[in-house]
Amino acid sequence: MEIAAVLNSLEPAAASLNVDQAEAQEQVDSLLYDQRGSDGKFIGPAGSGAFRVSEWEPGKRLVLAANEDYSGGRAFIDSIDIRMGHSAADRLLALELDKADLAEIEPDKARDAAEHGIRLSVSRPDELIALVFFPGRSATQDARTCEAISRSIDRSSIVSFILQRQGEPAGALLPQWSSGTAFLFSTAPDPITAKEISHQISTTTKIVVGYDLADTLEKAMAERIAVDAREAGVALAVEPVTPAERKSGKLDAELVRLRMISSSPRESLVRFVSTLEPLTGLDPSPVPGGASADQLYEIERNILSSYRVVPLVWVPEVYGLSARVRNWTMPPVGGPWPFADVWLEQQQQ
Amino acid sequence: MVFAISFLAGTGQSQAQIPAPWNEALTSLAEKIVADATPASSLSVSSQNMSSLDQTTTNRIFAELIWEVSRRRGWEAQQQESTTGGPSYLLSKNLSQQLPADANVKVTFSEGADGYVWVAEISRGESQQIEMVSVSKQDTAGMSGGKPWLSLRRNVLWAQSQPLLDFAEEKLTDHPTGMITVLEPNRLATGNLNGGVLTISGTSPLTDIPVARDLRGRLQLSPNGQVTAYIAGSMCIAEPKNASFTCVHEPGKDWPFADGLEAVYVANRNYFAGLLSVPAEPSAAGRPFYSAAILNSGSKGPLILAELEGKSRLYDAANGPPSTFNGWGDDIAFIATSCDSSEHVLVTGVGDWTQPDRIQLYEISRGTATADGEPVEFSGPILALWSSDDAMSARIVSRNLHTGLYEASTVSVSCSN
Repeated sequence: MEIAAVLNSLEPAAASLNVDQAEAQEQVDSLLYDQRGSDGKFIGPAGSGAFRVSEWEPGKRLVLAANEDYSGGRAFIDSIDIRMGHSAADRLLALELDKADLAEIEPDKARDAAEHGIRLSVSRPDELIALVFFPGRSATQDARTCEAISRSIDRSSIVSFILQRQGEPAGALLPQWSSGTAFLFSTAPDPITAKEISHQISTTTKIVVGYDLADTLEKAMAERIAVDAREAGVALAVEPVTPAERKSGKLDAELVRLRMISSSPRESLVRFVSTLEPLTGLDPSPVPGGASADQLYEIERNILSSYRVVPLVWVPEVYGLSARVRNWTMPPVGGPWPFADVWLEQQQQ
Repeated sequence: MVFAISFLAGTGQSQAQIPAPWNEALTSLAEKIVADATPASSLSVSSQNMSSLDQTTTNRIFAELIWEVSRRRGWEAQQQESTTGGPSYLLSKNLSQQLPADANVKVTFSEGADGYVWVAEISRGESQQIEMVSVSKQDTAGMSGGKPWLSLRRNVLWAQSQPLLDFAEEKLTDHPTGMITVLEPNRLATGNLNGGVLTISGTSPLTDIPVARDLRGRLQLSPNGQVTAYIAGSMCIAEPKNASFTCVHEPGKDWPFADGLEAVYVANRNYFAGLLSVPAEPSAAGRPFYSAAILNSGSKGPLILAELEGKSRLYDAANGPPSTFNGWGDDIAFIATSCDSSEHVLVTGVGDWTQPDRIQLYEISRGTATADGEPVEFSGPILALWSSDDAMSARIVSRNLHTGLYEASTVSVSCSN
């Protein structure tokens, strides 16, 4: 029996961050390999895991077949047919038409999907969408400009109206459920102070913020940020960009997505810091091994006090499931897809 | 209603309820708070819970923290109205001066993937500092789970139309015989209780009892059957097998309390002038009070007085200056439990005679009180609350506002794990 899974390859974002591609690869590898070494890398032959590669069309389609000899027990399903490169709308349509058993859904579409009768599996908020200011741009050279923009943003409105409450405002680099200290970072807008700061700066240079051309959520958020910034007296324009255009130099800032690799606050912060430092030109912020909660808090505070990184919202992973999928459990943060334990209910003819 | 919740600082037994690593973390946090708040002379400390720990547990931890901070500065602690969802205290060298706090501390019990995170935000003037400690979740064993869950059980014995001051059940080898002695404003009566109906078999009038608004009385039954009735400033004694009572009218007659303590009842009023000679707690002597709870800490231990200005105070010299509890009613009584060795008091509500009332159980430890379990609700005011001789239960006289009847009840504590 086949399971047809339609997944987004996240290619547009992968080109700029080179992270999500790796994360998708990580997920597939977790199905193909049985063991990890002490360094966390997969070891042994590909296909020693619960599945093996049956067909592979790069960028388009990957078919995994159950490994009959898997040491952990043969998977319930026979194969997984993974289609890539489909838009969010196409993925949703595939679920509605029963042409897919599982598909990743954008958080802002989750409510619509539920209203169309699609089963949803929603994780804890584990992906941060943040506004990142590039170094060396004249428009944002003054940190007060970045601060004015940060203070003007109404995160609660973004969560309520754009995300349809599938997410939460972000004031920190780590979510509350992971660090336990996110509540110490305010998420409330402060338009009065934002205006005061923008008047002090008195700059007319328009700041250009880029967003993923293929990402409707980022588009909506960028436009909302522009409205908030303009009300605070900061001229801000938004521009859709392709992965290739992200490094063209015409952007002063962009929206980026940072997905946690682990529920461990330290591990995720290490990953975030390694991604953000080259983007923002910030001084290195080493995260010590075994860092305590207050050490992690201080690192976050130091990074955020520069206003080069402005957390916006935390969003969950949302998967739509067909009616016949059984035993699906949301994988833990950074954990593998549980396809080996999934089975399909026979549909009555 | 404001609960006079305070937190267990822990006797030897109570410390087992807060794991040692958590105590270490609390001590560390308290030291940081004291250091950051210095040189503030008064501190407002509030709390909120954002973790998966239940409110009772975080209340206990907060109580320990309050005790640690107070102890380091020699401050008194007084509960105040809270806006953060958890208890809030004012700490000061001298609460009677009623000075506003010149520093504020907000304690948040938070939680992350690695464990609990307890955060203190200390604000003094324009400055703010943040301190935090981390504790492992693995140390929760023995916290809430190790403590028995206590609940109050009320047993209504009977109801009558005549005003009732007190009653006593005759017991034979700890079992009620069904014989009841009843103290009313104008008479003593004996009767048989059967099926919720008290059948009076003998009465003796009480004469020359001082007229007083809110007349109060209490009965004592000695093992040999002697009945002693204390009513206002008088004392009446009935010898065994004697159907009549001999009243000795002695103005200002002392009422006996536990541990050999005695108090002078103010004639024509409804309160006591004060305890006579409290060797273990000299500061408690001579303070007027409505009712007292002598804690069972071994001979001459701490005691709580429900004093005349509407506050109750715990006098426990071993644990620092008196602790003040707000929001407690005028009737309090010590009650023992078979659950554990912790100490408990019963406390009535703060309503008047036109309102329903309640009895709440509080656990007392190291200068603090924590509400334990759910209160028992009454359909009218509680008029009298007295510990039984063995302190394993309490006698309650209340008036049912719906029926107008005076109800005689007993309350005891049951425990489960």
